[in-house]
Amino acid sequence: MKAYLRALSDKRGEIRYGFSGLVPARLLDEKDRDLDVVFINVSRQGLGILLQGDAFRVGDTMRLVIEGQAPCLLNVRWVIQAKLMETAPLEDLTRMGLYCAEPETDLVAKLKAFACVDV
Amino acid sequence: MLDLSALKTGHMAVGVVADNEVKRRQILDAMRLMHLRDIRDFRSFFDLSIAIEKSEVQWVFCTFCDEEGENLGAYLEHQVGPEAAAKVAFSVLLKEGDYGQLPHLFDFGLMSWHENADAPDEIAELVYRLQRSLDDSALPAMVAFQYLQKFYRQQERWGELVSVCERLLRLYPHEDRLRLTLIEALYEEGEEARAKAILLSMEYFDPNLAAPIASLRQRLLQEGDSQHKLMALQYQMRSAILVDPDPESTSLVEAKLRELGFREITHFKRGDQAAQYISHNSFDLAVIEWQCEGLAGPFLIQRIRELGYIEVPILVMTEVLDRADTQLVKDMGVAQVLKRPIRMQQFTMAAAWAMTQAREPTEASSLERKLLGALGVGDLEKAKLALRQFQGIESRDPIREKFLKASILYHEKRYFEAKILLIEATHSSGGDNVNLAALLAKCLIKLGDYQAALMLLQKVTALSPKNIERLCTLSEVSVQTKNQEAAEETLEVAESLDPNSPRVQQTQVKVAVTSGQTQKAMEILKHLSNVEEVVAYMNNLAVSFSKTGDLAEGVRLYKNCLKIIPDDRTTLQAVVAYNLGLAMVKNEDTQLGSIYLKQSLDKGPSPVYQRAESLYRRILDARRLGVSVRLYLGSSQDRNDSVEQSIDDVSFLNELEAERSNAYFLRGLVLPKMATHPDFRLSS
Repeated sequence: MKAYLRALSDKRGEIRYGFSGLVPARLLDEKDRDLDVVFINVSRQGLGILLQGDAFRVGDTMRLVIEGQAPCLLNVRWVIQAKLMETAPLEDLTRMGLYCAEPETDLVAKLKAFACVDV
Repeated sequence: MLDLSALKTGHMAVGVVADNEVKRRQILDAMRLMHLRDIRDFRSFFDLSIAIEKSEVQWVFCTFCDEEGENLGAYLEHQVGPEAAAKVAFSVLLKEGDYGQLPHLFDFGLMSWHENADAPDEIAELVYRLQRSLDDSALPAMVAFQYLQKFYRQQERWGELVSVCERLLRLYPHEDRLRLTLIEALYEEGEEARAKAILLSMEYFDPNLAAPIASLRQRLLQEGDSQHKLMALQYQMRSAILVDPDPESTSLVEAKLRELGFREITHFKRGDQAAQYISHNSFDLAVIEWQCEGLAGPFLIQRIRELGYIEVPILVMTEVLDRADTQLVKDMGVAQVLKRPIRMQQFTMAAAWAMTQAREPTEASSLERKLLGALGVGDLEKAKLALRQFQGIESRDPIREKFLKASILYHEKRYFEAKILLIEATHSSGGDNVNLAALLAKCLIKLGDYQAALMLLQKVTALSPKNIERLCTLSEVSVQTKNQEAAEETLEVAESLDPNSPRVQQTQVKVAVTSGQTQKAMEILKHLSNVEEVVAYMNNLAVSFSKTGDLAEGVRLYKNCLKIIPDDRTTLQAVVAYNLGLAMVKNEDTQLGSIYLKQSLDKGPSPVYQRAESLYRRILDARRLGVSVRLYLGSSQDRNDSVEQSIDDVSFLNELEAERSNAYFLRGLVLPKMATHPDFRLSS
């Protein structure tokens, strides 16, 4: 089964923890560009983020680089226009759900070392 | 108190009264159509009274008059006292000519009114609608209000609707449905400016109200889909504080905050300046540099929460954050931590997200903050609402859920149940959850298990050493375990972190009083606003010493405590003087005991007045007869003058509960206090 199909069939009810920026982590796009994002929440296999613009589509790939750990490959599972407000600077805010491309990855376990997840 | 869910399920004993036999039969047939089983009918309200007294009827469905010409208004006014009213719900089938009586009927405790119908199936439909309006969380007052407002709307009596809404909002400040009705009524009454102001001040808390709020905004504020509004204005956030020593980032952040719609941005280079400012000024968002001078970020955010700004979103800017800081950031519910150098796009997103979550929480952590914020101000209803919303999140953490439930139980003083829940949660979490352990310690303190609490607090302060609240609690528990030295050592640590923190000062008073330094305690107390909390602690500590037989220590503490209570706090003085008098009597010193009891009585009405009076009289009687005073140490309800009075800091504040119980349904809330009721006997 393709990775994104497997992720789509995942249970959505997986526990999500608050995630308030307390982590030495960066998110890189396919061209290794550092993305300006706000991490919102995290589950064992998923990551909720907020970013500006609509450059990403479902299935696109990103890499989460956590300090001192091997990069973790993530795919875009869903994209919604957050539309917090209609005026600048918030008119093109996007919420995205990312999922781990590798089934054995456990994001909560990876982040727990930094005490950044509200577990 | 009546359980309205029994009415919803049809398990309530019904009493039917009507003005003629035909109508009575129509109602009885309707009740049977609704599968209500326990139904009795009465020719008169007088006959009904006996059944009510015997608790044989919980719901009365009647017409305005009975067969003997007596009407419901007179009956409710003269025959149904407040005690009976709380056990019975009244619904009336009303002819148009009697509609004018409705405000008075509701003021005497009516639950619902229904337009007169003759066919049993039509009456059954009315009952069905009533049952449907009773959801599990329906407050009796709100059920009755739905019916009363229907009448006022029909009659366009907007001014009266405004008055009822205002009275109810005082008792139920978080019933946003009431607030929406108030806004509409004010608008119809021509008070457009007030209506708009209330609408703008509403927090969008209950997602179910999103549609009516949007519709009102469109109507009153002319907000169309194309209307562009700045975020802070939309959320009624006006002012922000910014603590940042770096001029470059300051100007950038300030500009972004203005773009978001903040009108007032107060900037400080030092944390202590900000702390000074927030003690006298309110604000809606805080952006704080973690390493600022004067008072560093870790302590400034604690001051913010301590001052009651529990739900205000905080953004932290920092280059580094160590593990101990991380725990504190979580404890204080910081919305986002932004790494320096600040990326402005990221800052904007983080601020916008934090603002949205503060006003329209959808995430578990935001709802958790709402819940804890509500508990912080003693609003259990709002906290329970937040818990229900939290439970609506499919992906919620069961451990956090238990923690939140335990937090509510703790505020309900159900410490034992909270303890069990926390122990369960601790097992599931693997035992390293700081919040669970800290709350468990607080429960153990309330349950008197100071040693276990001490161990837990030592563990959590090691994991989060900058948490001033916990250091202070640890110091206070050391006092309770009579380890004055450890108490002072821990207090010193807290003082070294933030000597001007009101929480630290509270503990300074407590430790000073227990070590006999009352003068020092009084000096500090002069600058504290929450005297009750300190006195309650001292008094309750003395109570626990007295109860465990350490009367000498109890007496010493009561005496010290009495010395520090300001002159204008007569209720507190009365309680402590009574406890001191009682301890003296227990110590077989009735002479001194009677002096303190008299002192308590001289302070006027208080929760212990009757007890003090009873014990004082018995001392005088015993003295006259030359016998010794016998104390009743059992649980006899008749003789409770020998029981110490604990001071519960919440009970002094929570007078609303009593008012709510008295105002069952809308009893006494509909008409102005001085209004004269029509003479029902004549009008019928």
